[in-house]
Amino acid sequence: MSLSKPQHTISIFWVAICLALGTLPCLAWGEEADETLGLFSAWQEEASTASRAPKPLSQTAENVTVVTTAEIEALNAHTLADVLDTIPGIQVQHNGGPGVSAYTFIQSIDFIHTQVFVDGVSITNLGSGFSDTSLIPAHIIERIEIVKGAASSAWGQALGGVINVITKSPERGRTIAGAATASIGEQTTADTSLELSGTKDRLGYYLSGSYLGSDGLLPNTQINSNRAYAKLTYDLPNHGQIWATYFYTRADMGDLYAAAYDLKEQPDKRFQMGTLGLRYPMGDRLELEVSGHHSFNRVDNSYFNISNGAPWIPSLPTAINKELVSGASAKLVWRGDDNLLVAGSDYNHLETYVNSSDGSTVSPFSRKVERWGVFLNDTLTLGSVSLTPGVRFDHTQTAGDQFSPALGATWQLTDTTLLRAYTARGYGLPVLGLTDYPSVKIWTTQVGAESSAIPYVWVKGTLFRNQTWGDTVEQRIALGAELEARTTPIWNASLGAGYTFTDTTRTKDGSEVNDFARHTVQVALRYNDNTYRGVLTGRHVFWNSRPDENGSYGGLTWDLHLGAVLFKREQSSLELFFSGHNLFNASQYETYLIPNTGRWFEGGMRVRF
Amino acid sequence: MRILTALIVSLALLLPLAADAYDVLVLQSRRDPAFEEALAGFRANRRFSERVVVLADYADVDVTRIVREDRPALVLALGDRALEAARKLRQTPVIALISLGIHSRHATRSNLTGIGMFAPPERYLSLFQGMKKRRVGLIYHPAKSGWYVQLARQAAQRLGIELVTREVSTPRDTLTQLATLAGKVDALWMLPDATAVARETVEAYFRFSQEHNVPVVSFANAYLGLGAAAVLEIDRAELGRQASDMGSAILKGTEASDIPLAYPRRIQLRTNPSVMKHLGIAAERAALHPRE
Repeated sequence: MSLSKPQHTISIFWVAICLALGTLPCLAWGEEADETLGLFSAWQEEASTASRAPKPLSQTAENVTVVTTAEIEALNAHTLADVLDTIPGIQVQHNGGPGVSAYTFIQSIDFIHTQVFVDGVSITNLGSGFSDTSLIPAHIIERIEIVKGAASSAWGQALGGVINVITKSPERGRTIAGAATASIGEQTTADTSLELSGTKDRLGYYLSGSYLGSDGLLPNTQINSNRAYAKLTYDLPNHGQIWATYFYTRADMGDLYAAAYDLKEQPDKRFQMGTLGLRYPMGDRLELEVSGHHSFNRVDNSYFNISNGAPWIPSLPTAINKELVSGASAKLVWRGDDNLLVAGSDYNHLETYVNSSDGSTVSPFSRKVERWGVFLNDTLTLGSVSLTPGVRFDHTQTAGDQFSPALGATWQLTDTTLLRAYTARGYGLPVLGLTDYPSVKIWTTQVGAESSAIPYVWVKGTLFRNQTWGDTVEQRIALGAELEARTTPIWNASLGAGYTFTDTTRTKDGSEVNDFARHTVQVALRYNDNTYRGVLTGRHVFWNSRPDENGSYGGLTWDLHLGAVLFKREQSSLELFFSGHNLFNASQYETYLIPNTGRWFEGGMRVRF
Repeated sequence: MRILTALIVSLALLLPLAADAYDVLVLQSRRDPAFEEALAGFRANRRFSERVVVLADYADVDVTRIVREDRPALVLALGDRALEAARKLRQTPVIALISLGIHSRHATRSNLTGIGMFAPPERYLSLFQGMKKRRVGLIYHPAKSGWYVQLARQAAQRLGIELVTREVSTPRDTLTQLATLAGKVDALWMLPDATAVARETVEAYFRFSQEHNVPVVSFANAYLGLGAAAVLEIDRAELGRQASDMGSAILKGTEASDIPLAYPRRIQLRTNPSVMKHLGIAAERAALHPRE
């Protein structure tokens, strides 16, 4: 594979971006602001829950990216995976079109170490360590918070990082509101959803049902998927709240088409999750949050010959993996004058059951495991400096006890420039099977800065060093850098770019480790005037896979997402949208066994009421 | 799929029929929890029929046309942008909330009333009295807060407190004027004046506080974390309830011009004990229970 082509393309784009950024100051003007609101909120900026309690991003030492509903809707995204495609520092390998399995890597760390939480509950498959980000419908998401790098001191098993999905809350001030959306694309790729939301007195609800289906944009990537989500909230006096959520998804799909092996795989995935929680202020400064959750995850994997449709292994019709997780979390949040203290504990009872459909081919086995952890995280603010020490102890039962300390600091150097430093030890657990293996460990160190000192441009840079060892992993070091830039809107248009470089080598001899993405480039041009909107995104992942994988990753994959509000009243609107995917038919895959989808188009409409 | 498509088409066709007559046109600058909280308070005690227009959702909103066509009994403007959008309305009563601009516009607009974002000066001055502070520094822009400073001066005289005032015309002036207060004041009074308190100068108040060992008393909770010793926080839900009382009066026939601009009805004192302790102010002296 030639290396010159992607590098050449990337160079051209960086030059173009730099030129574009250079011309901005001549064109830009400020955005209208609500002066009073800013004054009374002291211009408080966006918050993150990286340490398990909301705090300003300027006091967050970790490398955090926050994605909002508006950004998600602008992408005409079907699933969480579609959104993650556009986030700097994240690599996503799609096995097919929308809804088909997607593997998510954070800063080139193995996907099994990416922890995905929905409303604070992990969706990770215990038997494979796989968090399928394509299972989460995009339309139920209110906000995504991504912590890049080990976050074990707050979240436990989170070696690579955390993707925390916060689902939509009930619509305030209306008894009933909602949206109905339908889209259709090539190969009958259809995504339809209905959302209802509202509040009556103290009771709020958000309900969503949806269907995602396709005949397959690649061979054997057909999908039939039904999803349902419900959230009920009850506001207590004194700003407390009780909530309950339920999430269900079933996806019957084709997932792998390996002609070289005459093999195709067809998983049938079922996932259910329920939570019940209480947030209760205990005075002005102390808040208690307790929640319980239960999830059921079942995957039936069937393997067939491509040539004749017969079972690939005659004696193995279907492998069945069933998992049950029941757990609870409790945390106390103390908001002092100059510190935010979060103390909490998580408990999980895990059960896994593996069998084959004939009940005999795969020796059935089951495991029951109890895991618990306690954590303490503090954010101490001393003028323009914030210190964030954190520590967590986990009892995993299968991989020993884990101790995860972390220390971070932020320094608001000037009104426009913030410095960050963060170092932490984290761990990842091997899959839960019959045999126990030790954990994988990581020591991550990150330093960075973000600044809007250059007029009309926001820039964020991070240098990171990840040392990984344990289990069957050869000790290795990943040295990397991440750069993000965004411009302020000019004539309703803005430009964004991200570049991540990761060099992963073995510590014993310094040799390069393959299969960890080396370069990741994301660019985006956005336009939104509240009537017409458009986003043009480009991405390139230099997967750096082994030569025998025959990967192909030249140039950038360009997607175009358009939308137009044809009719709008204050509480209802009719919107048409259109997406063109992979406009130039670029090849962008790690292994020849799983090629990416080519150019395809879809369009749809959404009614809000 | 077909059923949902049919539903979407039906909804699309029915949308134009969705407009009804209503009492209150709610103009909301943008989607923000602060506005939602005030609006929830507005709706809490009475059921007005209403139409909500969130200005940030549109490139341009012709409020005059909406009012002409829909004929609401009154307009509730939430935020600066909403108040600005309602400026061309001359007949329809307008109640403004969460906007500092109301004070400058009220004098020239007989159809405008509402609730300001300033606590009565006596509340602040009682607090300074409780802290045993006699010389209080205050920075303000005459065009924005001159009216309030005048009231504050009269009240301060009655209470035996000396107001050491400094005028500014741009945010940058604040740094210079703050420096001139060194050694002349025992406390700083931070006003909700967007020139005197700006994003780029707000830190200077708290630096001054640390350097000269004087407490800063401010107007919103957000400043406690930055180093204010105490704040008088306006209850936004109560703002909404207060506005709904005004709205009810207007719907019963009272003219907007007969409803004076009001101070917020419910204001809560909140203190930062560690700053108080650092400055040697006894918390119990400061904790004057406000009349709400």
